[in-house]
Amino acid sequence: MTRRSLLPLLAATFLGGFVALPVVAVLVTAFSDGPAAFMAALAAPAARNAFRLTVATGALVAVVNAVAGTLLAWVLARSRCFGRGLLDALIDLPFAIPTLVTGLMLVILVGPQSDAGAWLEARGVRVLFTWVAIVIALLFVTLPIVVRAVLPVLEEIDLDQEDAAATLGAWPAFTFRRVILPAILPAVLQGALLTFARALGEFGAVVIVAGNIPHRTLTAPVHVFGAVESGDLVGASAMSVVLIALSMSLMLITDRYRRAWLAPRTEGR
Amino acid sequence: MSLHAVGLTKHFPGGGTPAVDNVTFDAPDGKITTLLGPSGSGKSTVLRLIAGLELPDRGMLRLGDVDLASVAVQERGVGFVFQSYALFKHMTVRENITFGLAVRRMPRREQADRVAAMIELVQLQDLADRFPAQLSGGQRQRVAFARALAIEPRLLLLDEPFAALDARVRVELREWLRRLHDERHVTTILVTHDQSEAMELSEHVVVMHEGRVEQAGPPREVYERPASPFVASFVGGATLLKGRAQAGRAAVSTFNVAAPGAADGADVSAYVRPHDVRVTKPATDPATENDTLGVKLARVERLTFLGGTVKLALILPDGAPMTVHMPAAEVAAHGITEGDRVLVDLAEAKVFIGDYSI
Repeated sequence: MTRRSLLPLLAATFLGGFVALPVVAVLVTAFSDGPAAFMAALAAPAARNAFRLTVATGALVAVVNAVAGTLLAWVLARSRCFGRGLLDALIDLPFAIPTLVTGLMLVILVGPQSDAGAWLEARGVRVLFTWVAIVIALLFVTLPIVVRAVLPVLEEIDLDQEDAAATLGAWPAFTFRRVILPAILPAVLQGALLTFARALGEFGAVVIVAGNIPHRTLTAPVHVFGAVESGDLVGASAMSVVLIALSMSLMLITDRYRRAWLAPRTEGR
Repeated sequence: MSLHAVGLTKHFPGGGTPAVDNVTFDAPDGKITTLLGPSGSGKSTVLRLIAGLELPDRGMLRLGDVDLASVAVQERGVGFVFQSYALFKHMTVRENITFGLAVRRMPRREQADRVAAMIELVQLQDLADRFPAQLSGGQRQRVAFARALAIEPRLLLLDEPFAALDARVRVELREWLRRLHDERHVTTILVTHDQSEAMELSEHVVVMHEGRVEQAGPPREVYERPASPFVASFVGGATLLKGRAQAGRAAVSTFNVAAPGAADGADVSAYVRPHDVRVTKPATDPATENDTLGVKLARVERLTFLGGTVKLALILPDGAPMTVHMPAAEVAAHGITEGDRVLVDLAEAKVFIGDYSI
């Protein structure tokens, strides 16, 4: 064995042991009682409602953060204002905060014992222990994803392109729609899909604020947690396999789409 | 349509001196006017002011009979070609050229016809569905021209359009632009730092320096009768020789030039163009390194062949360097080689009196 072939071997062992093996273990467990048991675990109303809630809140969060993240990236890319550095650091804060702490912060902020929570409660609006709390938690946790996907693309767009569009008669709205948006759209979509994939798996921030009422505010990851707690490894694995399959296929699709779009537009650069 | 600029002034925040300082010039109808100057002379800023991409602090711009002060960039009807091409990267060649027509909501059929004509004009028929990244620099710049011309601009503004191209493509595109202009006669303002580009392409040259206009006129006049020391040195790459006036003449380096009207003792600057020098090879006295009549000789430090002409880097007897261009045949006939002692005569020098700093 030469030294050159040792490193790839090491990498393969590491990837196999730490990434592939656990996935295989979950797959095997999910089908350990046969395909019928696998289907039955997923078909249970509690599982179906949990999955539906997770996909719905994840999709909503992906859409909202796609728009908000693009706007934030725009402000960061184009403003030379004093607070830019601070804003830049603030954007990454959700990644730095443990998600459980995120949940705690929301409980403190909008729980019935807080001023804001009491104010809302008096008007018959309940945030904590509803799907709204789940969405807020997910919005917070996934905020940096779209910003970080779009910002470098925006910064790379030559300002001359906007000037050129103006001399050709285009007002800013037209230029944004026809010049800027098409250039950043792949990054926005990729960021949105990553946001969705991240939202599918979020546990820490959600479990504290959601209240985990079966059929109503209990998400798929919390469902997996409950199943593990009650010793139902097959049920836990079945839901896990679905979550893994969904988020992996989304990532593969985005990646392929982005490459196909990018290739002719950046050739030879 | 002719353009008149009067007293244009533009400060940028943080800049002490104005980028553009009281600039006045005319760009005649149907002609190519060149703004010629070194980088930082404010010529590109003038172009952006004309386009409406920047707003002047003071001054007036008139295109034909229209005062441009209240006309937005979108409504000025100017075609702008950027040094960086500024093509829309995610659009094909065809989509790039269509952009200005789509903005104007031109009927689709007319758009397609106009774009096809433009693609033919810049000879990119086979590449119409490529993206900019798939084109060479010269091809990209032709797309930029087609995109700017498609809107049938009243004025075509070119910001160093050939600067990013390699030498051969630059010369080809220059000739192409000359032919294009002769067909269409769109009033054009070209910004360049390359004086040969200015000479070859334009009927009218405006020389700029430190935000101000130094001289404006036909290329030949600017070359032959420079109005200031800066123009003399920048246009034509002259060597500067300094001296003092004495009885209407001045000794500059080892030459004696006419300095009419100069007070005795006044500073005199003489600018000598590379072509305005005669170099001959006399018989040398080996003991003194002078010629046999005792006249001091210059030394040929380096010969560079530029094709038909040869560039000679000379060291004058007083140690001053001088650049000379001579026909290659003449250099060969005299048998001049590196290290030779040569006799230098000035055919012509542009003389300025007074203390100029350039």
